[in-house]
Amino acid sequence: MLKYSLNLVFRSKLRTFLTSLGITIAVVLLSLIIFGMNGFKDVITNEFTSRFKPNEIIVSSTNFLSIVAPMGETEGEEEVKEPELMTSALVKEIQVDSRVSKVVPAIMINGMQLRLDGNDKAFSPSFPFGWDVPGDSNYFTGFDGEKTVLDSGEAFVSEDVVSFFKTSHDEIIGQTLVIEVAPSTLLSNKTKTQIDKEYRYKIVGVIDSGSDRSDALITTGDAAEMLAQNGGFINGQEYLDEIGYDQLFIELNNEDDVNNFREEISEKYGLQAFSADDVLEFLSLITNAITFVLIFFGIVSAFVASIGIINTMVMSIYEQTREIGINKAVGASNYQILYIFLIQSGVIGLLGGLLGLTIVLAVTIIADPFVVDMLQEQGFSAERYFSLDPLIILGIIIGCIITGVLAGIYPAIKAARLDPVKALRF
Amino acid sequence: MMIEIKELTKKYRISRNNIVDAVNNLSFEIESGEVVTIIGPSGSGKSTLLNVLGGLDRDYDGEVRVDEKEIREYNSVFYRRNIVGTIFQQFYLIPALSVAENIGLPSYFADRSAKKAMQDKVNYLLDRVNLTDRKNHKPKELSGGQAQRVAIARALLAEPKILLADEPTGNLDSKTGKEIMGLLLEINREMKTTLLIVTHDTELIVGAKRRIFLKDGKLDKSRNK
Repeated sequence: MLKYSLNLVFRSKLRTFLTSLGITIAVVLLSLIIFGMNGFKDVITNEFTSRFKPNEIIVSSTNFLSIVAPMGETEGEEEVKEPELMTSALVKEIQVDSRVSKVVPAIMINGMQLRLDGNDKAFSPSFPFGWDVPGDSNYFTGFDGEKTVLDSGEAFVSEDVVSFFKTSHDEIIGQTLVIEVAPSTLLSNKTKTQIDKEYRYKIVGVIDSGSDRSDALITTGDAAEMLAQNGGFINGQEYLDEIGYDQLFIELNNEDDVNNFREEISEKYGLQAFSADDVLEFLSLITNAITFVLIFFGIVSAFVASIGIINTMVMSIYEQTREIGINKAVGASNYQILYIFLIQSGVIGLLGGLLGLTIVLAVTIIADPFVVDMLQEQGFSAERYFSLDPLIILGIIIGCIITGVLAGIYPAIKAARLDPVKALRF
Repeated sequence: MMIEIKELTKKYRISRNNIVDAVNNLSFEIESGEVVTIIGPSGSGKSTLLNVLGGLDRDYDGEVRVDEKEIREYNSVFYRRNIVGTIFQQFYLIPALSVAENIGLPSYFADRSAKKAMQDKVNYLLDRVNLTDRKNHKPKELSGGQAQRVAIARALLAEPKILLADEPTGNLDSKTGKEIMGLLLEINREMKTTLLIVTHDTELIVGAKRRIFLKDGKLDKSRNK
């Protein structure tokens, strides 16, 4: 009976092909969404896990993850503790905790632009940091320089800066980096104290900040002094006492202490603390949300395709009415007629799915190198983007068959219930 | 008694207030292995009678017994698969299937136990109806007589006790019609199959030992003696 059902499917090859195209389009759409988003998630996760150790916590006065998705909801009218300033004293207090192996503070410098001494071209907007981390630390994907640890008056610049000034590592190292206040922008206004201020640093290395924007690095001491002068503070120490650091990178001795320590920081100082798990969970939440929204569109497309199958199957009942009558006259049961029609619609679904997956396979093979190039240009260290999970492929094939069979149920029941006498007279 | 029909009545509702008796209070009997021709003009109830005997129409009044058992007591699928074989005026072959596949069609729907034997029998039947050299041809490549021979072979695949033929020569010229009639009678002799031929063509009655004349859904008493 399977052979006979297949004979019916391939009797109208063009119609079968055109009907299965609906499923093909849905499969291409859904597969590219699923494989594309999986690839995206893998790239982001790999990028993050290669930089962020599991025993590390980032502390900030603001919950930057909540900009996109709320995390750690507070229930009812629970009082929110005012965050403490992340001053040198606070850094020392955290550092003496026996669970802590290292605390590295960081200062974000906003509203500035970068120049090379003797070159009027400005790299703006720029994101320089005051951050006492070695150039060869895990926060960067590459480093080239005379020395790995900065002293006061020295700076590392990023690969982006090197590219912007169309120079090379050898040429830029040794030059003077000028950090000056950028013209007023949408995000910052120049103040009187900032006019004609510029700060000079000797470039001693080039960092590859990957997908991050760390355009230049100077010591936190230099950054505090710069911001003190810009903001009218007496000195860097007063700036740190009044404004404090922007972020603290805390490394613990034991990764098992991460959750407890993170909660303690939040409760005791009112600061936001994030571990690798938090960020990965956040990234997963975002990518899953996007995937679900996109999959919804794919499912709508599959639904439309299934209407196409229903239409084709109903049409084929009209065409096969007499044949159904003949089959019943020679002994076919209603169940067997139902089975024949369900096989037909299931096979149409399967063919559409296989064609769709073939197209997806070809597209991913062709597109993968381009996507990888694009990601590498953006600083991601991906070697492959699309990974076609065999289990997902199997799931898609089964899904296509099920879609076909479900779409065939109504026509199949209609066919099975045909009165043989009327069918023969049709 | 092979077939026993008692007071068979079949009504069709044409419209809300118009019900027509296609067959009205019909009674007769047919012995096992008998060849019977049912003759009557269009609208005399011949096809309705054949649909009832073929197990295609179970909505009737009266009683129709086959092998001492009322047709409606048989499982309808079992009855159509194993008890009767039907030949139609229009042949009703499936155009997309080859001659051999058309003959083997009942085996697609047969019980697993019978399937193999039926498939093995296709070649024998091809030979029996003299169409071995046409086994891979499609119905459109056959003449009318060849197509009806395919239909006969298909009807015989399950070795039915009763062979029903609805105007089997209606679409054939007289020479081919006689050949087909000859084949049916041979089969009746060889296989002891009860043969019931429905026709309006009185020329076909040659060879049939018994004739039943129908008129307006009843036995035509003036012609049945």
